[in-house]
Amino acid sequence: MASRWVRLSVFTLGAIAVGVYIAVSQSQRRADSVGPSQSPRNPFNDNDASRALHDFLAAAYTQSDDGDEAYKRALERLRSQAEAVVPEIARIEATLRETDYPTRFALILAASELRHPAALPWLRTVALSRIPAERSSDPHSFSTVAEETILRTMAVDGIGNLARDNNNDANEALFQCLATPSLSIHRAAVQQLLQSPNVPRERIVSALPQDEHFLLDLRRIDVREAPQVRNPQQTLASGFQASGIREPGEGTETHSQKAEGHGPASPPPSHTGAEQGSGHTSPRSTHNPPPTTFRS
Amino acid sequence: MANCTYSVPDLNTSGDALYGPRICNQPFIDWVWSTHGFNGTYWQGGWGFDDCCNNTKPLCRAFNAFWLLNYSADDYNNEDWNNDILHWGRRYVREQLHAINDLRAMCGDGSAIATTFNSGCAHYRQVSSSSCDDWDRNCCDWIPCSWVCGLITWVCRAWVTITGSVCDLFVPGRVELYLGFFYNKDVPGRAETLVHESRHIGGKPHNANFPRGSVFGAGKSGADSDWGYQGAWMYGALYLWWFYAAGTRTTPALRQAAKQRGNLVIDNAFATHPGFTIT
Repeated sequence: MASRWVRLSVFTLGAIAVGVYIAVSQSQRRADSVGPSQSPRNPFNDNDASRALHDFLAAAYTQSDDGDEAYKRALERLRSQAEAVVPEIARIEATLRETDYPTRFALILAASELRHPAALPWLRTVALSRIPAERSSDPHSFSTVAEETILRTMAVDGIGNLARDNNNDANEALFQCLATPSLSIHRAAVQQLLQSPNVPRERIVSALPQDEHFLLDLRRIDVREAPQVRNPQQTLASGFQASGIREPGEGTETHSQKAEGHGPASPPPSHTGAEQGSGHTSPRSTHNPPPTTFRS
Repeated sequence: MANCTYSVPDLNTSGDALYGPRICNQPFIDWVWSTHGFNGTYWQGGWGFDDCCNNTKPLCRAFNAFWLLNYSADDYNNEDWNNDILHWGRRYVREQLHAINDLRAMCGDGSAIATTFNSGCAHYRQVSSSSCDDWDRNCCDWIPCSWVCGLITWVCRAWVTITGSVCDLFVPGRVELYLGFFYNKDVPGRAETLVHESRHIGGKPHNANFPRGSVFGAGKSGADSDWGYQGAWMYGALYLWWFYAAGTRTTPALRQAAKQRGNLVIDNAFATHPGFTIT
C-alpha cells in the first residue's frame, strides 16, 4: 500500500516537473526581431493622369467631414481623363510587388469607378488572368490564391458596371469569366449578368457547369436578413462567460458576477481619446507624426 | 529566434494612413495594450514597442486593426451581446485575447499569418462542460435519484475543471501574428483575422473539408461545415459583411474591400455554400 502511494507521488511530482519545465521553456523562448527592408518608391509619374489617380486614391482612402465632396471631385477629375488614366493604372500595377494586394485592389477599384469603356480591356485582362499557384503552405491561414481571387472579383464587378450601361463587350467579358476555373469569379460574374439588361437567364444557365447552377439562385440579402450569431457570450473561453454586462449607453461596465482568471477586460476609451490612461508598462506614443503617403 | 525583414506597402490603400493617427493617443494605447493580452517580450526588437505610432511598424498596424474593431459601429459604446457582431465583435475579441493573455508578433515561415495555440483545451472544456450540463438537465427529480445524479454532475464538472487546468498547464495558450498579418492584409482584413482567431480561442475548430473549387484548397481540412455551425469562418465573414454594410469612421474603398473579402469567405470556406451573397 505504502509503495503504491510512493509510486503515485513520484508520478505526480514528475508530471508537475515536466509541466513546470514546459512552462519555463516557453517563457524563456527568445522573441524574433524584425526590421524594414527597402520600401517601394513612389510609383506615380509627374503628369496629369498620374496626379489625378494619386489624388483619387488619396480621397478614396481618406475619411473627413468633407470626405464625400473631396471624393466626388477627385472621381470627376479622374473620369475626365479616363483614357489617359487607364494606361497609368496598368503601368503602376505592373510595378507593384505581387503581395501588395491592397494597392493592387485600389487600382482595380479606380478602374472600376471610371465606368468608362476604355477601362474594359484592362479589367478583362485582370479578371481573366491566370491565378498564380498557391504560394502558402497553409492556405487556411493565408492564401495567395484567395488574395488574387479578391482582385479578380473586384475587376468582375467593374466590368459589371459597364455591362449595366448596355456595353455588349462587357457582357461578353462576363461570359468569358464563366469559363475560368474559379467559383468566386463565376459567382461574381453571374451576379453581374443577372443585373445586366438584355441577358437571358437561359444563356447564363448554359454557360455554367451543372453543379454551379445554384449560383443563379443565391439570395442577394441585406446583412440584417442573414443568420446571426446566437449567444456569442456562451462561446467565450473558460472563465469569461460571466464577464461584465454593459449598461446600454453607459461608459462604465457593471460586473454582474466576478469572473475567474484575469477578469473581464474593460471597455475602450472614447474614440477621441479624451480620457486619461493609466498604463505604465504599455508602449509610449511618440511625437513623431506617422507617415501618411508613399515614401520616395 | 528568427530575424526577418518587411517591405511597407502603400499606407493609404492598406488603411494604415487613415487609422494610424487615430491610434496614436496614449489612453487608447494603454487600454488596448492592457486588455488584449499583448506579451511585451514579443513586441520589441523592431516590432514597434518603442515606436508604436509609426504605422510602418507591426505594433501600430495591429493597433489599427483593434481601433477598427472598437470604433466602427456608429454607437460603439453599445457592445451588448444581443446586438450585431459589428457591436459585440470588439468585446468578443477583447475577452478572448484577454483570456489567453499571450499575443505575440513573430516572423513566421511565410505560410500562415496567424495561429492560435491551445484552442484544443478550450474546445475540450467547452464540449465537456456542455456534456455535464446535458447530464444535469436530464437528471431525475425524485430523491434519492436526484442526489446521486447531482453528485455525478458535480464530479463531472470537477473532472472537467481539473483536466482542463492540466491541459492549460502543459499546452499554454497563445496567439501568434506573423509578418503577413501586418503587411499583406489591409486593416479590415486584419480585423477579420482577429475575429477568426478569437473564435478558435473559444474552442471552435474547423470541422469540414474545403469544397470543390475552393481557393483554400479543395478537399483539404480547415473549412466549416456550414454557416449554421457558427465557426471561425462565419464569424469573420459576418464581421466583414457588417463592416461593409454599416461600418463608420472608415472609407467606401475599405468597405468595398471588406465586401469582396466577405464574399470570398462565403464562397470558399464552407463545405455547404450558405446560399447568399453580399451585394
